[in-house]
Amino acid sequence: MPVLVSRPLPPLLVLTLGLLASASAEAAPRIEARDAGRGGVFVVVDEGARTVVGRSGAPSATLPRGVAISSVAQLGEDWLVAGTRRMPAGRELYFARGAGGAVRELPLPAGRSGRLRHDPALVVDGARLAGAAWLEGDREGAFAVLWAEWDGEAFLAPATVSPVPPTGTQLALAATQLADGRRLVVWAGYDGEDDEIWAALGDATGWSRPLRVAPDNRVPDITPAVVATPGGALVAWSRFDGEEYRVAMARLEGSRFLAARDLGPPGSLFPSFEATAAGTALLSRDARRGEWELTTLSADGRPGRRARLVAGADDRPLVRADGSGVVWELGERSAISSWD
Amino acid sequence: MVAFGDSITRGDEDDPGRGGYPARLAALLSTPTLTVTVENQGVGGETTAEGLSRLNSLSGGANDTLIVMEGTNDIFRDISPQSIASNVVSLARRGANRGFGHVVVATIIPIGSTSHEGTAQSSRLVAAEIRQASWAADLDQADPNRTFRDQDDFIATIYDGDHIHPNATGYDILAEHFADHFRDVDKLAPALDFVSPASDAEDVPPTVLLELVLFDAQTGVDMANSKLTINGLAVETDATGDGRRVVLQARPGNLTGRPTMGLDARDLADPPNRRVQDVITFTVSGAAFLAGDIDRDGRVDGNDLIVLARAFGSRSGSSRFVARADLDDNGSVDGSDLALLAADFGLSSF
Repeated sequence: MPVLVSRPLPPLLVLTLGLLASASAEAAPRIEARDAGRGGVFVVVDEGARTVVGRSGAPSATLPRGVAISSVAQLGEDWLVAGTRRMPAGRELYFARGAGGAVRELPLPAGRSGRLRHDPALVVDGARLAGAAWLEGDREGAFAVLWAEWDGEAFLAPATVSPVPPTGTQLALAATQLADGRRLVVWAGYDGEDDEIWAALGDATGWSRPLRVAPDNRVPDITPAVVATPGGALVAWSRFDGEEYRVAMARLEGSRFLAARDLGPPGSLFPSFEATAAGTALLSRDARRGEWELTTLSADGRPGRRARLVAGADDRPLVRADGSGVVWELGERSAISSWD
Repeated sequence: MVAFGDSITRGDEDDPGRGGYPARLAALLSTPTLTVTVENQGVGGETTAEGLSRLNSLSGGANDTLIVMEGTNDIFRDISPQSIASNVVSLARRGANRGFGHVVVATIIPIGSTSHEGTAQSSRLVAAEIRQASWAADLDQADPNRTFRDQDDFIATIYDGDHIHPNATGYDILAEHFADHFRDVDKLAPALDFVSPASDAEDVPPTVLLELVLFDAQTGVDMANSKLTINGLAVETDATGDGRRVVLQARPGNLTGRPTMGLDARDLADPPNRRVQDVITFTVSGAAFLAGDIDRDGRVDGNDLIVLARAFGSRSGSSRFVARADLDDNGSVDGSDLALLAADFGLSSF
């Protein structure tokens, strides 16, 4: 059986979360955004105050009040955050770069077309920022998907990856840089009947038309995640099978997605890709068992070993894994489990 | 009865020992000769997607009622209003398949969370989709979202500090709402959703078709006496629908400037519950605004000055820069813009 709740967290992380918790008599601090792929930097929010926590577990910087962070990335010794802040006429993007305790705001993409901008997703290329995708629209529930390239000094003029759909909206953006230099953005979007998972590929010549990641169906497909692989990318999401949701996965090869397949059991939800010493792994929720499950993946997305942790749905863990097992970090406690 | 949902059903942030709305509802519905029990099946943090898996462990009888109120946590997981509503309908159908003789779908209550600021959707949109989907599926529907929104200053008065969970007073109101639903007592005016044109839309044709949708899952909308208004005055309105969902349409044909579209609607309760309110303001094609009317509300006033003040000193490309406050279009918000605004101060654009 997998769970041994004994291993203490790194002292600095315990101190960080403990100090943050003591500031609040009611709501516990929670992780708002994390970089699952590079370095483990994350953002903790407590009573509206946001702190960037570096991979050492030590607080790195405090962000301005009023910003909400949706994406964070480690770039060498620096980190980047992307989010939004309320403005007099809607909601505006927020980008900042930090090193040590210093925080420097980055200039924003110009050419705003809607008064609301939401959920920016950073894309990094090695140790540099490549660009960001985000949602933009004039009203809630009707967002386009936009992208802006970063030239090292500023964002270039935004490009529309996917316009506002006639009905419904587009949400749950995720993005990555592929090994061949192209960018892949995925999201959940309404097709007039239900939500589907969509993707677009971008290169120096522009963006492809939005592609369905899997054939059209009449059931909701929600919350996609994406990771680049040597030969393309993997996209995982949750699909309603008529009874329950379960994690499905599709592989991008060239410019087309191969047939999607179910990866998780009935009741599996909210996948994210995690970079670990054991290779790329998929973290998901098992609603039937009330557990979090980590599954190692081959480069073409075939599942390997699994490890599980009993924990609440609110407690999405941070994970570290190697060949011997998984360390799960949950607020002020941690757990170790071996692979099944 | 079984109350199925998340931490709001569980009663988080309620006074100790009160048991959230389910315990209160049981007390309200019980009589000296009838004891009603309401089993609390609230699980903190649960989304509708997870609820679909959990509901398989429940079963009911022909005399049992299932109340489904879930979807708030979906908002924080970036699940769209359409998928949330679809899941809620699936939960209700699953409940019927699990033997419950009566299933009630409830809209989620509003959230005003500062700790979750920045989410790309709102509880209002989710509630609207749940109304629409439960109407389309012909499900019995309660509307606590509307009950909460109709309270004065509701976030400040009936919520815990997290602006997600009600306080004890809020749970009292929630239980009263469900009790009214089961007693067939209608205290709520129709809810309005799906308005066209969009709020603050610009360049709207003067002959635009105005439209909004009303929902009233109890006594129904009084279609003959529900009207759209322009600047507070009723206009000739067509009402179509089945009473539970009604579409109001009007084409005044002579719109100018920046009109306010409103509503004067009532239901068929005795006495009727009436909703009179301004809904949206939009700008008609050809409307000319004074330069200082930065917020385009038709007046140059203190609100415009606040926008300019917040952007003062900023240059194009800065996060504080507001293009409309750059009245002379020189790439910065500065003293010359302030002078232009001052020249128009107190004047109306129309």
